[in-house]
Amino acid sequence: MSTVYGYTTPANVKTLLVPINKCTSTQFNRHLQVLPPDMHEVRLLDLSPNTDLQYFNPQTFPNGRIFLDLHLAAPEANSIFLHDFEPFRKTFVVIGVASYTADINVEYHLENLAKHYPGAIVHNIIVFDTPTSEINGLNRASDHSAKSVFYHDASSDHNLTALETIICGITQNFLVALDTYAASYTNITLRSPVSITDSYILTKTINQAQKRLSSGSTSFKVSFSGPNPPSSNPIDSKSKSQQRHNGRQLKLMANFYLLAGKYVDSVQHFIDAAITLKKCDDYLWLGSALEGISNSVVLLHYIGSNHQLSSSLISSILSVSKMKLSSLSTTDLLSPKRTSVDQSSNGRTIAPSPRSSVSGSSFSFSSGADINAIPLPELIKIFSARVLFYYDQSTNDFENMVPDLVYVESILRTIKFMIGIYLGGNDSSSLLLQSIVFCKSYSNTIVNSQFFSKSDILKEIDKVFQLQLVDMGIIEQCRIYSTLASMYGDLDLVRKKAFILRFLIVGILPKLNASDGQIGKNDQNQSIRGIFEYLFTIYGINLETESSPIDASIQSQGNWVSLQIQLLRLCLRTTETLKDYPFHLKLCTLLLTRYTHCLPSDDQHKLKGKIERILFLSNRNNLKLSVPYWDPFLVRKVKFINNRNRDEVMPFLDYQNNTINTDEEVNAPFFDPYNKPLASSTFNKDKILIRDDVYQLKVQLQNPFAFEVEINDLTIVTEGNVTVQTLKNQIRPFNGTQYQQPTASRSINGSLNKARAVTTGSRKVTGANSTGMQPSLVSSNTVNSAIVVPPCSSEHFVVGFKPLQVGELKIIGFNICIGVCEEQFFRIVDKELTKVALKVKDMDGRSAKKENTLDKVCQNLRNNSIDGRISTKNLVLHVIPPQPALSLIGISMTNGWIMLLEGERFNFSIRLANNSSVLINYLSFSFWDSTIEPLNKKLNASSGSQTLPASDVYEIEWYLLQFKPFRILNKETIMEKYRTIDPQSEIKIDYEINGRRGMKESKIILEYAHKESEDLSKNYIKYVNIPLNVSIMPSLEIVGCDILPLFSDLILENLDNVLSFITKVIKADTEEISDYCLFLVDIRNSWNEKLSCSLSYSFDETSSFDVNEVIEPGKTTRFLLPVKRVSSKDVDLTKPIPSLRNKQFVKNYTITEAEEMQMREIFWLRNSLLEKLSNHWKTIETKATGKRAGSIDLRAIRLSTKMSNVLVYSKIRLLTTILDDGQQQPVAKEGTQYLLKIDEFYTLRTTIINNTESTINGILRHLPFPMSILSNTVVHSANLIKAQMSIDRKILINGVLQSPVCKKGIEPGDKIDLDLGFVILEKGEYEWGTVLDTLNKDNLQIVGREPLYISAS
Amino acid sequence: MSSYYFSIIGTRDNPLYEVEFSSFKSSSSSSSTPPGISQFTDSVKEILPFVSNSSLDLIEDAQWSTSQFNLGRIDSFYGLLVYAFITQGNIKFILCFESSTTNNGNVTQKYDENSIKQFFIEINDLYVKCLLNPFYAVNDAITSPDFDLKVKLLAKKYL
Repeated sequence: MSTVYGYTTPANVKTLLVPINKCTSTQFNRHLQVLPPDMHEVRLLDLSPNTDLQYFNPQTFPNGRIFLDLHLAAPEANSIFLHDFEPFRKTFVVIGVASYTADINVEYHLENLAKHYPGAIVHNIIVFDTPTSEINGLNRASDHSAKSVFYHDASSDHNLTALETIICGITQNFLVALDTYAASYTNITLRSPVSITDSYILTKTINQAQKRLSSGSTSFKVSFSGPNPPSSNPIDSKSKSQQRHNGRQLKLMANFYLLAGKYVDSVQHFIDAAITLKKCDDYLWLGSALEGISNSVVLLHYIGSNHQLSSSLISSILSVSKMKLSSLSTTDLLSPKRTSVDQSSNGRTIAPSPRSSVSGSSFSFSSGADINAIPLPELIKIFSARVLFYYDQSTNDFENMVPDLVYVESILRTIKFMIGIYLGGNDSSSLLLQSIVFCKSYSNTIVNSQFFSKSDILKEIDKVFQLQLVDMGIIEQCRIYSTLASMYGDLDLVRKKAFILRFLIVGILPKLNASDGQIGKNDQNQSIRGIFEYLFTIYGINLETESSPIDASIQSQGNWVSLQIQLLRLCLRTTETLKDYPFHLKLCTLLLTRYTHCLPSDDQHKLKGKIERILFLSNRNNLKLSVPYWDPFLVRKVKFINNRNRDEVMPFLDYQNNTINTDEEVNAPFFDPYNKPLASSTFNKDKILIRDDVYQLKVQLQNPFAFEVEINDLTIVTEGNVTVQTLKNQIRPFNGTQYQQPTASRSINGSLNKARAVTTGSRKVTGANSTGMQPSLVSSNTVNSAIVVPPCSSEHFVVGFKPLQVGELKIIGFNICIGVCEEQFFRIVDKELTKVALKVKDMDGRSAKKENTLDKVCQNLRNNSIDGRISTKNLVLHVIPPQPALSLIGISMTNGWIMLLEGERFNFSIRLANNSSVLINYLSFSFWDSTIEPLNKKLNASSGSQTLPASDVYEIEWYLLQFKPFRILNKETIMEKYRTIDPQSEIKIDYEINGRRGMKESKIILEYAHKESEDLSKNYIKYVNIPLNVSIMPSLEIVGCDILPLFSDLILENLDNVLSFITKVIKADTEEISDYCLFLVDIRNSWNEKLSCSLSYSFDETSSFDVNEVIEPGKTTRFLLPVKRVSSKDVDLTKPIPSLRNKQFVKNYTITEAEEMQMREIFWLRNSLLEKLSNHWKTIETKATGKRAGSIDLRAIRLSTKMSNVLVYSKIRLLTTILDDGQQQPVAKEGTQYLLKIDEFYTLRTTIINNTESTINGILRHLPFPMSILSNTVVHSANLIKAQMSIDRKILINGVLQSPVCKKGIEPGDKIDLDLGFVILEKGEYEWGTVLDTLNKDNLQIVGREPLYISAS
Repeated sequence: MSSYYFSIIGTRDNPLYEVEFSSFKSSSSSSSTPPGISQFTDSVKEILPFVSNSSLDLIEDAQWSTSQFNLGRIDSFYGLLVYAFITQGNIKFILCFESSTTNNGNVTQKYDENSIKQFFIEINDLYVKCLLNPFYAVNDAITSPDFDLKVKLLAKKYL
């Protein structure tokens, strides 16, 4: 095709190749390999001279060439009227191509060819595959007479030469025939082509062209506004017509010479013709003659000869002034660049010419303007401009008007030549001319032509568009457009090319209908597909928005969508007309995938309808077409629905870590906040699945389209060893509740049903299609009812599945079959990846851009290659072997409800059964109750802000950690009897529950497992919770307590046993009364029954003090217990308060050292007291009420500082006694008092006992004062008190009231007696206190425990 | 009264702005149609983006051969004339219009070319202002109604 508009086309001999003798298409194609349908150059030199020929004897111009242009098809119906005007359009030679058969009847075939192609002047046959044995007989070398049948040897060794011989033979035949043919024209009056056929159409078109020319184009006007207006000289009409006749004859002969390769003759004839025709103003033929001259000149250059044009005549016709000629011919000499270029480019052709070879500048200058000195391209330019001018002029003459075809083709040939020169650049011109003559694409990297610029060429091309090409024959249109497209392509104007191609398709679209069902349809489809693919690349439709983030960002920033969609529409129309269904299908896919956002909803519906129809047709015709689904991001989210209790199963390692943690902390030497337990378990316990159990996934599917998307099938795709079975009949829409029955799935929800009702019509169609087309999908194994995603929305679905192996289950996506589309793999979309669009244009990118747009779309969709666009995610779950199941089958409490009194203990039992087929070989217990939470909260709150003192924290910790609300009673039995719980067997566990205040509900947590191996990571723990609802009623509670010192003379009323105890102590020699103190506790009975309460205090292992009392409901009773004082020897009171949680010790700086010591002392004292106290209570048993028993919470006891002072021994003790002065005997006490006489001498003996570890030193001070005054008198003033407190004149002291103890101090464990004499002068009651001020480091003040009460009389 | 198709094309052959309008001058001749509404036939309308797109080739070719931003008449296709202007940032302004038949000769054409040049220069001003907007990135579509209005005002003024 491309050769049609070669510049030298008028010199080509059109030759048609046809298969004959039942040549099959494969054979024909094989023969064409040997004899390609292309240009074949035959040198006249190689032809045998034939003197018989009148005109075309090759001998006369041995340099000439004949170009056989072999075609496979030569439609000439449209151009037959031009055969007389431009004879090269005629198909001169018809060659029958035959395969050799023994019975080949060449005569018959020759006749047949002549009958079928009466227009051709030569009918020849080439018989291929002739056996070598036969060939000598058939191709007799001696026979030089003209043959019309040629035999080609089958053996390959002399393929080429044999073929050349054959071609030469044919050419020879052609020359003979042409001679006759040309002779036949001598007497014919030649008419212009217009008058031969119906002139109407052409006139019209040319008129329009005329209009355009006059109005629009400036360039045209400029180039033609020559100084020579069309002259219409009144010449004698007769001689004019004679001249016209002669001129036309000459021109035609020149054309024949051109065909026959005799260029010198043809140039001469053309020039003669031109001169003659100019005279008679026959512009059409004149133009054609000029064109012939330029063609001949180019060919002369090609064969290496020089042209000689008679410049004066030519310039008159060309109307080029001498000035211009000289400027043209001199410019190339003036500019050095040109010269050099000239010489190199025209090296071979012009160099032999004497003018150029001796081209001294002076010579050229002197010779002045010579047309022969003009470089070839410039010459051709002048000629072509002139040709167009004359053609243009011819439109004035109605009869001899230029046909459009001639006009356009002339322009196109010129353009082709210009482009050839343009692309050739500075290259050596022999190759360049060859490329022009053979119409081969000739590419030179350095595009820098000095003759034609791109804009020159574009101006020429513009001229084509000034004609109404639409009115021309379709084949011509195709040729012209495709040639233009290739020209633009050559000029690197891709968008122009695309534009023209689109125009071409628009042009041929209406004519395509006719071509249905013809042979070669496939080729046609293929070439149109090729054009479309090219257009897609140019118009950016090839952006892979579904897989490339850059493309997507470019697209989102704004592509020329309107343009693209228009083009795609055109494509759709075209392919539909062509019935090219595979391509059509891909186009629909492309539109839906990449342009959904720009398509209105009815268009989307239409596209879907189209796809469905085509698939239906293809299935009926077994074409096996299929489409991928258009949206690769179908699966938006996948979530595993854990429909069991989330804590039901946990990995054993996790469990162990939790329990072991505390021990580790103990072992650690100090608290290391960075030593966090490592996250040893790699998976979330929510994601543990048990093999063969049914689980569900919540899958979110999106539908960006305006139509409903119907899901026919859905399979979960996994990676790795673990596979799943998708339970297809359990796929249903998700509407909030997890445990939806499958039966309910049909009524999806109201709105959806409505949507369905609206689109019932279309849905029916699709349903029918899907069943009709894909019967395999409608088997029992598929989704039970069609699942529909409504338009432009996303929908959640529940998909049931069952893991089949144990291990890590990795769900990577789904195989989903949607509507009529093929089954496809979809990954799970996680996040969109965005890339910033490039702001600059990638100049080279276009060429590197991906081709095969449509295949790419389908491929991307099929492979789900969306990695670049989004990040996908996988759902990782863990499948573990089947686990045992322990369940509660009985509990001895009614309904799990129980009422308890505070502190009450209650026994009950539970029965559990292993329902599974797996053995349980691990069981552990733990408890939970509702008091834990508030305590924990309190504890956590305190730890942050240090509000609670350490002792209180300890108290809470004790309640949390030490207090046991439950106890297993039959632990030993269980351990012995039930080493394992076998499948389907039971276990009974006895419990004791301890009622605690504030408890509302509690739980027994049983953890059990089937330990398979030592590898703990493979074992899993399951739980059984046994909830118990408890209500606690108050029973006995401690309302208050106090500790009093015990003195020997303390009067204790109505407590006989206390008294008796005291008496016993007093009487005993080993103990002193001051070793004890009295513990008072008030206990209140808040319950509505009498409760018998018993408290006991154990002094040591053997002896204890017990109190039993019955407390009436609502009454408070005071209990008195003698308690042994605590000595610092027994308990270290300075130890820090421990933390049961093993928390790090934090020093509290808000309290002073002394306060802290005090706190510790109280803590340890209370601790020792609680250790020794024990209690229990029980109800007085009646028939109405059951027996209840329990204990009082003694931890309610709080010690104050005063109490603690009473309870503890001081380390230094002061004892005082009064001695009779005379006998040095101790005066006996009367009750608590000493009865002394006035005016008698007594001695007060103070004994200091040092129990500390160090020597003490100090001052002993005596503080005697009268007692009665204190109690009786009203205190008026401080002075008065002082006066009354004074012992002046009441007691006489023999010595000093303050005296140092001793010089050396008292050694540890030592004791010292200090005596002081005194006389009481006045009657009355006195109290005598003793104070020891130690002078040691602590400056302790020790006060005597038992002050002396003296009653003097 | 001739109709115009004006488009701004980004660096990646992406349209930033498109508008169709017709000349406000001499609109009195045909009172049936309101002024300013383009009167392209459907077939021409369809082809306009393609013509603009194909002229990009010529613009990119021509930009190297001149130092002017205004490239003048760059292309024509049948009756459609294409004028172009290229900014410093390689953004192209393309104006397509059907050459009106009522014009008589070169004088009007000259006048047209001048006014088109002025139109382009002022559009360039507008575009640069638009580009100064920190929220506008090169190659984004220009959606500002203000811009649209101003373009139309300029069209009324010059074309």
